[in-house]
This record gives sequence, structure tokens and C-alpha cells, in this order.
Amino acid sequence: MDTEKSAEMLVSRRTLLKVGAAAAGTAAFLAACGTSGSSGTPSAKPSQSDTISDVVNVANWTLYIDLSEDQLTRPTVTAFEAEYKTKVNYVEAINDNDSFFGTIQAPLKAGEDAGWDIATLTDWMAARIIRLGWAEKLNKDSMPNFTANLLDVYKGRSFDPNVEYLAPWAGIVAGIAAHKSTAGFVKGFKDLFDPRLKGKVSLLTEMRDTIGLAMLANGDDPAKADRASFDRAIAVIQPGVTGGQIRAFTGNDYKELIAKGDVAACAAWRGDTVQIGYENADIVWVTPTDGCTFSSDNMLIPLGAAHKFTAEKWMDWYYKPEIAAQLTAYVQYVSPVKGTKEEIAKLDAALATDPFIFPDAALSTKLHVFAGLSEGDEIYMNNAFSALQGN
Amino acid sequence: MIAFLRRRPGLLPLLLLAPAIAWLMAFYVYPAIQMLQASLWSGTLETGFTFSWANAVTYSTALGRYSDQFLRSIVYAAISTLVCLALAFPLAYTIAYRAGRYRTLLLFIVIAPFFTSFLLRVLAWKTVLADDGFILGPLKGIGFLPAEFRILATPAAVIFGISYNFFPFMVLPIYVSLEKIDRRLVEAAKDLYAGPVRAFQRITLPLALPGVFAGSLLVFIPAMGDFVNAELLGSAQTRLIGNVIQSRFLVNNDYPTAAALSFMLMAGILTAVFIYARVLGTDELETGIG
Repeated sequence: MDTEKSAEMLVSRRTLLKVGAAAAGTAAFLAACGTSGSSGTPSAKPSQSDTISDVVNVANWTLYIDLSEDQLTRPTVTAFEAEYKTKVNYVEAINDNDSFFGTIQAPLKAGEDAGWDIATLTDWMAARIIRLGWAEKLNKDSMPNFTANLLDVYKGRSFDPNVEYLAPWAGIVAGIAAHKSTAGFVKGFKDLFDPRLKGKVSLLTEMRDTIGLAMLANGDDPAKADRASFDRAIAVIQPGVTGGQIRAFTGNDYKELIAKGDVAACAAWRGDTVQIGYENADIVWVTPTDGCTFSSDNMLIPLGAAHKFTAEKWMDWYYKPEIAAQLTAYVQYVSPVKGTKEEIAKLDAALATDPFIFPDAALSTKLHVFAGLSEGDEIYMNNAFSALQGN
Repeated sequence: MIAFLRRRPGLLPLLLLAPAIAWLMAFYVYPAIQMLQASLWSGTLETGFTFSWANAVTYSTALGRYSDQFLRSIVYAAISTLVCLALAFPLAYTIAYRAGRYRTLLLFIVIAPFFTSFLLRVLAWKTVLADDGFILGPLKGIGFLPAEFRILATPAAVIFGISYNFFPFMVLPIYVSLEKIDRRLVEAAKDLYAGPVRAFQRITLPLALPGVFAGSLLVFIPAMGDFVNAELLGSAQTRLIGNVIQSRFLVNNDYPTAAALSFMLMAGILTAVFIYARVLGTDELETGIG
């Protein structure tokens, strides 16, 4: 026993010496390490051909695709598969921009395929990915419908001025969803802080939507967002978080909370709310009296995607007016495709005049875009917004 | 080979340890060094990160900013461990000594939840415990609970979730310890006029301590780093340090703070385990096992 213990101690001392040497080496190694900025470093392997692949991997948000009556199939996806003899791996993988970005940043930074041929991301996140050099340029020769039918309002956007990277999927209006029976009195953002709704309110993890709505309630313009107006917005929300008024911050998953009644009213996206209302007529959309935020979700092809050509065909498919109409009639988001209005009128005349699908002048005055942010301001706001959520 | 080892018997333990050491080097030591490196970076995702020892200040800054979440993690993990222990010991005792032919069935029931995914189990509790779900709804309906009562989005829900998910890790080691006890020792104690309570205190409990020790570590350690239960069952007021690390890494792209917090969490757990082992006395435990 004693001999064994001596041997153990000997090994321990030897090990310690080795660990000491390794530690010194590690220190030198660490000091030599760091990472370079990622901007404009497209080191991924080009792996493209002009043939349709067996599969195309599409990441999208929930409640963003048309469903059949039995809710078991996605008609426009099935039609694409039949047309191109391919298989669409359509995954509702995006709950919010930040969390999805967290899942793709490591491979993209390493110049590897992130596993998705299409990712559908909101303007500011799509802009970040373009800035980082992590988006493939579109070959518009293979996208005739897109070239012909993209609405002019989406051309010349600051983050993609020549429409080289992004194909808008839909315009999104953020406002409020509420149960008529328990939160029928909610008309504006500040009504979410009514004591009758204590613990029954959720806000969005999308900083620009939640803060944008609070800014509008404060009389600030999200298009001119700065740190001062941001701090004022946080000041509106913080007491609600501390006092237990706000139950949760959610991505798309607010749909379960409001459907079960755990949440009586919440910051929400308009198309989602209409779809949730298909199942429960008590849940209705409320256009806040102070105004709504407006943004777009955009399809992009992550750098190094394995099936770029098929991904471009997927994008192009949804720029056929008849397909766009079929999709829009179901999801009820703003369509970025010319000719959709005429096609949708054939399906349902009322939808052709719905301002939340085809915004009219009156509604347009209520829609507000959040300002583009410098990296410094974005970090400042993201940190404070994370702290608001307890992170 | 065998002849070679006979000539150098000292090499055999090293040879047997080699796969485990290689595994630990590849999947623990190397990532830990990378994490240490990241904790000493400064910069942003877009401008890139640079290493400097001067960035060690990140540790104190992070600790100051997230002390609430650290403390909350310790408290929630400790309470969950105690809850598991309080529920697991009687259950393990029953399975070991009183279950008879139902022993295998009861053990199966304990581990049965593991046949579904961790995430699904937590999501299921969101449905079960919904404010107006099939448990709380009827109780509110008959006036037993006030309309505004809720379990979800409270600290109790998070602690419950952690306790529920890690419960089998407490039951199984205690069961193994109890099952190994030579029951003749208890009979001997009774022969020497010890009552059932005293026999339990002097024989069963001390000999079951290795199981309690192992179970406590198996519950406490993952509970400290848990973020799923707090994310899905809690609210902004119940965030744990695991949520902060997840958010700093994946949402804010603040790798240095996330890495520093991860390192401090690891160091904190190691310290707590060390103190626990000293207090409980692992040598005695080993004797107990033997």
C-alpha cells in the first residue's frame, strides 16, 4: 500500500513538472492566437453546377409557408418538388435572427458549408451577413421570374443596392396580438403594461421590433433610433420585466403561449396572428395606435452552400405571381412580388384589398422602419436588450 | 507484446489509461485551452478578435455584471439537489428493500423518461403546467386556486424542471449503494438492541452515503450549468448563468465574456465539489464502499 502511494506521488510530481512545462508552452501559444475580422473572406469551396440537386435545404420561420387543408403538406413546396424533381428539406429552423445566426456563424467563419442552401433572415441580419462576406452572389441568369417581378421598392436598399444577394420573402408588420376576451382593451403598446395583464404579456426577442414599438409609444421615430431614444424605450419596458408584468421574451414561439392562454396579449407579427386566428377566433390582431414596425425577411444563400443552383431556382419559384399569390393568401404577409395582387384576386377578392398584404397610403403612414445601426450602437443596444431579458 | 509488458510492468497502467487520456486531451483539455484563449480576446465579430493578457479584466467585469445569475444558479441547483435527495432516498430504499418482484419494474419506471428527449420532456411540462391547462384549469374552476395563480414563469417551475429532469441521477446511485449493503449488519444491530431508527442511522445511512455523494454531484453539476429549464419554464427573472453564457456566445457574439463565464463556472463547480468531498470525507466513503 505504501509503495503504491509513493509511486502515485512520484507520478504526481512528474506530472506536475510536465503540466508546468505545458502551461508555459500554452501561454506562448495563447499569446500567438487571435482571430481576424471576417469581412470579405470568402474561403469556402465553390461547389456549384447548373444542375438541379437531389435535395435543397431551406431554413425558414414558422407560420411562413402555405399548408394544405389537412395541414400535412405544403402545396407550393410540393409543386416545386414536382416541377424540378428534387426534394425540399424545408425546416422551420428560425425562431429568431440571433439564435439562428448563432447556429451558422461557426461554420461560415471557418469557410465551411453551414448546412443550409437558403436562410431567410430579417433585413438587419441579412445586412450583417453580406457585410461579413458570408452570402453567395445570386446568378440572376437562372432567376428570370425574380428579375422580372421583384417590386421596385426592394431595389436599391442600402445593404444590397444592386440586388446581388437577397431575394425578399415577405414584408413583416409587427404590432400586437391579443385575446379579445381578456385583453380586448389593448389598443397600444403601453396598454400591455395594464395591471390586469400582469404575467400575461410577452414581447419579442427581436430587439428592433420590441424596442421599435416602445419607441413609437414614446413618440420617438425608430427610423432615427439612437442611444437616447433606445434608453427611453428600455425605461418603458424595464419596470414591466422587474415587476413580473412581462412573462416572456419570445421568437416565433409566442404562438404556443397565446394559443394556450398563458399570454393574453403580446408583441406579434401580423401574418402569424391571422394564422393563429384560424384556430382560435378569440385571438385578434391589434394595430397599435402609435404605429407598427416594418421590416422584411430575405432569402439568401449562405457562402459555400452545397446546392446553390437549386437554391436560386427555389427563390425564383416564389417570384412566379401565381405561386406568390398562393403563398400570400395563406401566410398573409406583405408580398414583394409584382402581379401577386392580380393573382390573389382570383383566389379571394377581399385579400387583394387587404392593406396588410398590399399596404395602402393610410397604413403606410403607420409603418416604421428601424434605423440602420453602427456596430457600436448595435452592440450597445444588444447588450442592454439582453440585460432586459435577464441575460 | 505480453512479454514486453512483463519486462516493464509499470507501463501497463499507462497503456490502459491511454485511450481515456487521449479522449480527455481531445475533448476536454484542448477545448478548455481554446476557451481560455477566447476569454482573453477583445474585439468584435466584424473587426476580429485579438489576444492580450490584459484582457483578463473580462473576468472581474463579467463576475460583477452577472453575479445575480451566478448566485441564482447556485441556489436553484442546491435546492434541486435537496429536493431530489428528499424524494430519491425513500424511493431507492423502497426499491432496494421493499419492492420484491416489482424491483425491475420500478427501476424501469425511474429511467423511463430518458426514452424521450430532454427537450420534449421540458416542453411537455409547459403543456401540463399551463395556466389554464388540465391541472390548474379545473382547480381554478372550482375556486381552489385564484385565477391569477400560475406555476410557469416562476422560480418554482425552474427548480421543479431541474429536479424532475435530473431525478434519476440521484435515485440510481443511492439504489446501488443501498442494494450492496449486507443486511446482516442491520440484523446484527437489531440483535444488539438497536431500534429500526437507530439501525438506519448507524448502519444503512452511513453505508448509503457514497450513493448520496455520487447522486448529489450528478444532479448539482449539470443543474449549475442548465439553461433549458430556465429558458422554457422560467422568465427574465429566473435566468441562470447557463442562459447568460448561451446568450453571450450565440446572440451577442461576445465570445470573451462567454468564455470567461464558462471558465469561472467550471472553477466554481470544481471548488464546490472539492469542499463537498472534504466535508463528507471521500476516504471514509471508499471504506464504506469496500
